[in-house]
Amino acid sequence: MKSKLLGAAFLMLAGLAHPGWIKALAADPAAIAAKKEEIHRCLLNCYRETSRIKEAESECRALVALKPGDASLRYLLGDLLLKSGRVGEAASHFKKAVQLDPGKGDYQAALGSVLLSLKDYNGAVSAYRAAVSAPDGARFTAHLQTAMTYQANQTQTVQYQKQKQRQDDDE
Amino acid sequence: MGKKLLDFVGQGQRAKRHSRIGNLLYVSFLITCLAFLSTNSCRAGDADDPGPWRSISVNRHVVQANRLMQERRYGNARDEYLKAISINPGIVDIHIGLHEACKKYPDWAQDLTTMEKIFELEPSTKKQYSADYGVALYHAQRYDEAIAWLKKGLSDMNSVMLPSPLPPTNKDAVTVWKAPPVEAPVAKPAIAINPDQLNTNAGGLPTTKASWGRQQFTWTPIVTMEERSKLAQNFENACHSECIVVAEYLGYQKGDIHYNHPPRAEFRIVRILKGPPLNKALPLRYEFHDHTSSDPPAGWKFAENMMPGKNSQWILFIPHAVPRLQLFDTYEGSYGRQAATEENLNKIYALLEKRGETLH
Repeated sequence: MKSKLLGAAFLMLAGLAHPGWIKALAADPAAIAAKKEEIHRCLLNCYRETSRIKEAESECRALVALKPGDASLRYLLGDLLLKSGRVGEAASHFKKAVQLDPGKGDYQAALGSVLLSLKDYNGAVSAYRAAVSAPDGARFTAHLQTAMTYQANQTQTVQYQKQKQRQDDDE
Repeated sequence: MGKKLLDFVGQGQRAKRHSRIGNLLYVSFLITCLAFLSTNSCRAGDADDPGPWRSISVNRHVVQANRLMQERRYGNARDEYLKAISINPGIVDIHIGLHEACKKYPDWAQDLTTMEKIFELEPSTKKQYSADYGVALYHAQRYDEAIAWLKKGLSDMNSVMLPSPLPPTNKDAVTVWKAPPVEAPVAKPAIAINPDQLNTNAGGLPTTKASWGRQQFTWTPIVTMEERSKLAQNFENACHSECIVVAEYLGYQKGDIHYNHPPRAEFRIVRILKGPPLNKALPLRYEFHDHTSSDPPAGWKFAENMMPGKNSQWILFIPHAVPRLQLFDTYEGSYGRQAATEENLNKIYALLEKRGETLH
């Protein structure tokens, strides 16, 4: 009797050990993560389509938390922040996107645009230069010229102020 | 004598022990073989086997569809599932297989219909498939409904483990998934459809094989200029401009004028609402589009009447108070020029007041 019971237990174990059953029983963490990502992406797109920027931003943050090394998500988050007027925060995310994927002209140009708004003309010029040198960067040439105009203007103003200061001091 | 007797008894016990181990191994071998055969026989799909559907033709289509799914010929698999469903529309597992095929092909319109049919046949599957239904709704551009279902799906992810994505081959192969001891957050959808009121079986455990796929959702998150402009065009964003003025239109410089080559328009500043004290003479790049599309409408040609009436007053949003190539740009092209109506001015003053940016 005892041996029969042992045999049954062994058989049950043998039955459960069938690879197909194990596959069916195990929940794959990678599949769960992929599914979560898919849901967040769909939600993000839904919010973007319905112009609900704040909700889109929180979905984008969830995606960034899931995939912190994804430059495109950082870029998108920066863009959403820019739309809600948080230029400083947007700049930090664009910088991160540029760090993660320096060869992408769009990211460099976005950083240049934000730095231009923050009046960091030197930073904007270097970002636009990087954008122009990217494979698809010819379309940013006009932006680079604009940034350089601003930069020259700023340099001129600073020189004028210094000169004026010197004259005042002499007097 | 006594020793011989003891030896005899010892041999008997050893023989008995050996036979017991032999029996055990023999029975376990038999059962393993049976288990193996029973699992594989479900997949084999003999052509004349009525299978779990109790219909040779249905089984034939399902087996064929499953084979096509494995070969990643999802469009053909969908057609086979549809043929099986046309013979017997009441089997939920075949609808689940069809949903898998539609999702991977993808055929979102058919997927939506299929999912609705699955929910109708087995309401307890709503919990498992809420996210999938949300995805299908998103692709069908029914965004508000999609949001509610996707949120529901996300909260259900915490309470239901992902089942295997294998297409159904045997109706009797039912797998019950254990819920982890996590309290799922309650989703609160803002629209008419309320997935919280869906029927779920006791304990929230799904009862059939589900099909949450493992394939990556291909999507490029690059925001195009058009999308960006579409979302940016409101007074709240426009008021971030460095300079907002009320200006009077004086005239424009004639020359080579095209949709993407705007003329120089001369304005005179009447009142500065925000920003530095610019020169009264304001040369402006008079753009004909608001950056949502740089493609001109069919048959577009510049005409005098496209310019504003002389001495008409406009609110100009200037994002950077420095001219670019001698001309000032307006926020989002033509959007940055708004008629100086009482209503618009009121809105802008309210926004500036809120931000503490009023000059007076």
